[in-house]
Amino acid sequence: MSKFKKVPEKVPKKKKSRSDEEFAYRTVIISTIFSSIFLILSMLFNGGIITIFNQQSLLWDTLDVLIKGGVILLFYFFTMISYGNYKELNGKPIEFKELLLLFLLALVQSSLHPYVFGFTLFGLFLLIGYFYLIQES
Amino acid sequence: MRKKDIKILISIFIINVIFTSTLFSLDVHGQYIEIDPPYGIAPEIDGFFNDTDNEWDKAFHTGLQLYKNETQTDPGLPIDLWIMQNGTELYICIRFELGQDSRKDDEFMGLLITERRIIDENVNISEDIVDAKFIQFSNKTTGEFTYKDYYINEDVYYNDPSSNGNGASILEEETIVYEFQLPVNSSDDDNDVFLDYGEDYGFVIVYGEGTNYPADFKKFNIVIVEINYPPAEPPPGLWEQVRFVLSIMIFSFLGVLLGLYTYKIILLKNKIERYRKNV
Repeated sequence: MSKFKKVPEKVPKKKKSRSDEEFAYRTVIISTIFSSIFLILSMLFNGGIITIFNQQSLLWDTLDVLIKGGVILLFYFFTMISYGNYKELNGKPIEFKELLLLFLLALVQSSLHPYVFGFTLFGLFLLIGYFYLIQES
Repeated sequence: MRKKDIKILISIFIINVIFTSTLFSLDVHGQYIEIDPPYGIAPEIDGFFNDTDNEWDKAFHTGLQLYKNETQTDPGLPIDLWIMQNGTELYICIRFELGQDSRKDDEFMGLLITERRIIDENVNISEDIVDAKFIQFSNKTTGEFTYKDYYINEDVYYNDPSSNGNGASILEEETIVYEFQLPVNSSDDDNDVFLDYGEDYGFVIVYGEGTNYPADFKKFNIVIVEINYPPAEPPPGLWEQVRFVLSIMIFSFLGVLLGLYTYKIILLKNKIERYRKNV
């Protein structure tokens, strides 16, 4: 008979589960901070509080649309990560209506600028496609 | 050499000095055109003047003659002049036609700028000129030119080490276009005239051939330009106000949602803690 007792196998599993929870929670916090930052930036740029470029030319106008749309897309990206992890911590998946709500919340920020709206809509579909693909893999 | 020859040489020299001094004198008396440049979208300073591109549509436009001297017997060089400004720059465009045979490769067009308005009609304008900008061709055939910034001290032209402004020119068949861009209300260079809002400045438009200033000045004329204050922002229209209110509503709503979500995250932390204790 062996002198040593068998080390219980459940203990590290529990530790791992706890560490996963902590990691997920930290991800929720960090991504929420980022989404808040991008919401504020979006409010400044898309709300018309700050004008990014005073000059008017095709180049500056394109850059203006890219920055405004990019900020909204980054807001959506981090909000999705945050909310996805939040739901996972609650033991539930994101429902379709929640996904649609987040989509609309991002899109509504660009509703006052037609070109930004078009660019954001296109970017949102790409992001949803990206999330779908990484979910699948 | 005979005494008579020496006398003839001296006489020729004196006549030459008198002739050239009157030829290049910038003492012009009389009424000058006063220009109140309108505001517009900045044109591209590339030397291209195309009637279809509407770049200078908003500019003040006038015809002007550049003369050799103040005697009106000189037929003069007819030019078209456009002047406009935006908040930071003054834009001047000069266009004229001249026969190819009377063109030289080292042609130039210059703007001599006075430090203040010439109110007194009998004032010697050359004493007031302190700043000069030139678009100088080095080879007109190939279109090579340089924009030059000079400052003037007691009628002597010195190269300004820190060049301000911009200029471009293009010769197309019989027509040549010179475009200048000068900073307004922003120059910190002591060698430049500080073009200030609400002030009048005399601009001598000078045409010449050669690179020796002012000896190579051929023809000129003077205009008075008032640097206008930027126009007041028009009051926001109804659509602007609606947009503003809508954006406040949208972002307030999003802010409230994010606040609620953050609160739920904090609650989740407590929930996890409680769950751990129970397990």
